[in-house]
Amino acid sequence: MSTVAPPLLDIESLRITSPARVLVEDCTLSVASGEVVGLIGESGSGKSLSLRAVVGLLDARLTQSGRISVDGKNLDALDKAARRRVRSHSMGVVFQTPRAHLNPLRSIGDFMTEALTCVAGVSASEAEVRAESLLEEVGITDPRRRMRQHPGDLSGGLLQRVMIASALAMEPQLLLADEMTTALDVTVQEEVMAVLLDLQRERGLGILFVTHDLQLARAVCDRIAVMSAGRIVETIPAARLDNAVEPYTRALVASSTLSRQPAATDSEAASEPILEVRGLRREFMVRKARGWGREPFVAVDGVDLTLGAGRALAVVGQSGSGKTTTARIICGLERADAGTVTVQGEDWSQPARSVRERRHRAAMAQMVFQDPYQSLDPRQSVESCLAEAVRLQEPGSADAVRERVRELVRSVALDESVLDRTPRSLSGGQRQRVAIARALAARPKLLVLDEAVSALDVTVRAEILDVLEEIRHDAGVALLMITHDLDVAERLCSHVVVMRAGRVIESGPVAEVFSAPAESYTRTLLASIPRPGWVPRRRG
Amino acid sequence: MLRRVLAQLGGLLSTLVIASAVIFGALVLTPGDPVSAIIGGVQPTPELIAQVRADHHLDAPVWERYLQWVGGILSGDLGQSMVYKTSISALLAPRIAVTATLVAYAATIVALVGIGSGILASRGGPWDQAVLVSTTVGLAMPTFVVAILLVWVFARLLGWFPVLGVGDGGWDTLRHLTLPAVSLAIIYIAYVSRITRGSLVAQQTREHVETARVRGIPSARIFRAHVLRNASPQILAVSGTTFASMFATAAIAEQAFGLGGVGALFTEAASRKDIPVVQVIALLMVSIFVAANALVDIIAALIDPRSDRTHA
Repeated sequence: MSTVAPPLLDIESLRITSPARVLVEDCTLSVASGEVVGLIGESGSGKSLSLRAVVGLLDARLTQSGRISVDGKNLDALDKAARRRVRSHSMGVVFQTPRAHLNPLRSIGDFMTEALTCVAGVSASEAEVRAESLLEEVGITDPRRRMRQHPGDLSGGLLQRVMIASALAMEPQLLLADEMTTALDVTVQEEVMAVLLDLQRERGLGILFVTHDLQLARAVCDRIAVMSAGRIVETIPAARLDNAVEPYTRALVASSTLSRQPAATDSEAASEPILEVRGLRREFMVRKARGWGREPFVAVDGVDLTLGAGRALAVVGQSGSGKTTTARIICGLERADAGTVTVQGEDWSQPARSVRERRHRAAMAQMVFQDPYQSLDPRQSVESCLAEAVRLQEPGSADAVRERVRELVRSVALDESVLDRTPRSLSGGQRQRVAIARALAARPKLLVLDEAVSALDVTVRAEILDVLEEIRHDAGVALLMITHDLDVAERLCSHVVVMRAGRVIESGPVAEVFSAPAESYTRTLLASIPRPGWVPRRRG
Repeated sequence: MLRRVLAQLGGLLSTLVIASAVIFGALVLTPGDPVSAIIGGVQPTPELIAQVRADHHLDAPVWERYLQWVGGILSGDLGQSMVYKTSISALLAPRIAVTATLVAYAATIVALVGIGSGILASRGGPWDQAVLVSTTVGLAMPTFVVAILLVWVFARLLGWFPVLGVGDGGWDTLRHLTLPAVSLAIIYIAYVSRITRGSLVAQQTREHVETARVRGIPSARIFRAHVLRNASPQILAVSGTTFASMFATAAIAEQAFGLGGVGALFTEAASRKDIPVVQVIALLMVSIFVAANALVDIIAALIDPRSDRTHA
């Protein structure tokens, strides 16, 4: 027996290639017992792929070389059965979307006990007892009832706790987490992280924590490996992230700490309101949880907000708070049950009735959606997509349209070379710029952005926010930012509206609301955001 | 669950009411005088025509005749055949037995071979190719062509199976029904096999299946508990429709192999304008179709807890 315990996970010179190109190269990384190691990088950098190689989920068309050792055992040197044994006993895995990773047809109890009975050979009754105590350990109250329920009955946060509990069923010392809180609201993320870190301390787990969220990684990890374009550019202690030497790491740190621009606070003088919403209400009929019939669910409940011309207003809140429904009503995509929407003195409370009216409104207000992968026609070139939008509002000669399209592309800081490409060949950030350019084609006075930067990498997000700030500042376009990300609100907006359960619970200038929140919910929301020195806490 | 079953039954009943009205209405509106069909070759006298019209209530308004017809069916009186001059119940009873046996036989073959080959194909590799090619051929061959081929190979060349009739019951009947059942089954085997393969492959790449694999669950159990189980509502739904439409397609196999089944009676009655018989059989087929689908939906709800749940 050696005197020094081998690391729980030791990856050496991992290389993953597809027939076309190299996806991961020279990835070397280790996780020791009791250590949390972050693996951060932007989408496509190869971090999830490396994790999938460790757990054995690599696509059969990809080839891998290098050495992966778990608990000192080289996986490649083992036969198939032994490899599976090591993987199932020595490591637990938690993925990004718990809802997709649990069989929707089977109960939570089935899921929890399956590995114990089928892999460890524990008796069914014994497995049930152990599953119950595991669920209790991750802070799930009334585990016996939960085990009879199905994934559809549980919230995302609860499901992720179930995933953590089941990952620990075989009592592994190593836990692999792949973007495990990315799909969760910030307050839920805080609770799940608190659960995870408590377990980590109690059991002395080694965790490989894959995430794109540098702030989160910095708050919870001991060491951080930064990955870019398939390579690990550096591995440094989390505390030294601010003093990183690698330019890529420095760029990543810079773009994930959004600095507040002075431009966002300019001219405190009152401007004419371009958008006024009063007493907005929208109910949806949903089927009752028990018994017959349907009951109303109030998605938007008496919302008031005002946006000055050329200003930026953030509507923040968690998923289900009614912020997107509010935006959709403003843009006429949804009707209101009560209340008024006034845009530059015109009554927009009901969706447009005629094509002409709709076009008239489109020239005034435009919407940009979260997912540019779905909001652009995949077979249409950027040029024809933008030309179509231009011709709709300003029919003119082919030359005039072409000139306007080029102007639009430049206004979102894109190169003209993208014009003859289709969305498929563009990156996520480029697509979102095209979507913004298309919205600007109508020369709107108001841009409604529904989580428009949420799906983007931090560096891309920072660039898009710069573009939006420029549009607001130079062209005087008012911005209504629907976002769950308080950093985005702070970076771009002068005022903020905090929504919860369909109501506006707090509003005012960003600087005031964020520095001295009046409502406890706003305080919770602010405290949940990972920042340097952040310690996740379980809340009642 | 109860709510779902009740909703199914409600849907089933309303479909049947509408279908019965459409069937009755459509056949009343079809051209041709039923009187001449009833009288047959005899030169009709005005008295005879009047007599026939009175006997068959042809002078009453349509809605009254419809209610009478439905009322009769509900009380077990299916009416009289105009051509055979006997009660339709007596005409139908033995034929239903033949058709039901034929369809049950064919459905068993479809379930075993169709789902089996679909499972095999979902594993990929050479089996997938083989199943793909043979199901393509199967889908392209109409039942009557298959019937002729089967007769030629297995009856004429090999002499394994009889060509005509239903046999004397028991094993003999099964032997007689083998070729008709196979010819009826082929196209549905191909169909069910493709659907089975498709839904299994779709399930295999689901994330929760990956989770199970990461956790080291044996692959046989993953297939059974996560892949097959999750694909089964879809496979069931297709199998249900298949089973129901076999009752209609059975007519071709029955004609080709000289079996006196419901389908054969249906085509014969239609060509001889025996409207009461056509109406009853049409309604019977609709009922079977609707009932089979309702049953499949209820079974699917038992398998999938989500379909019983409410989500906005």
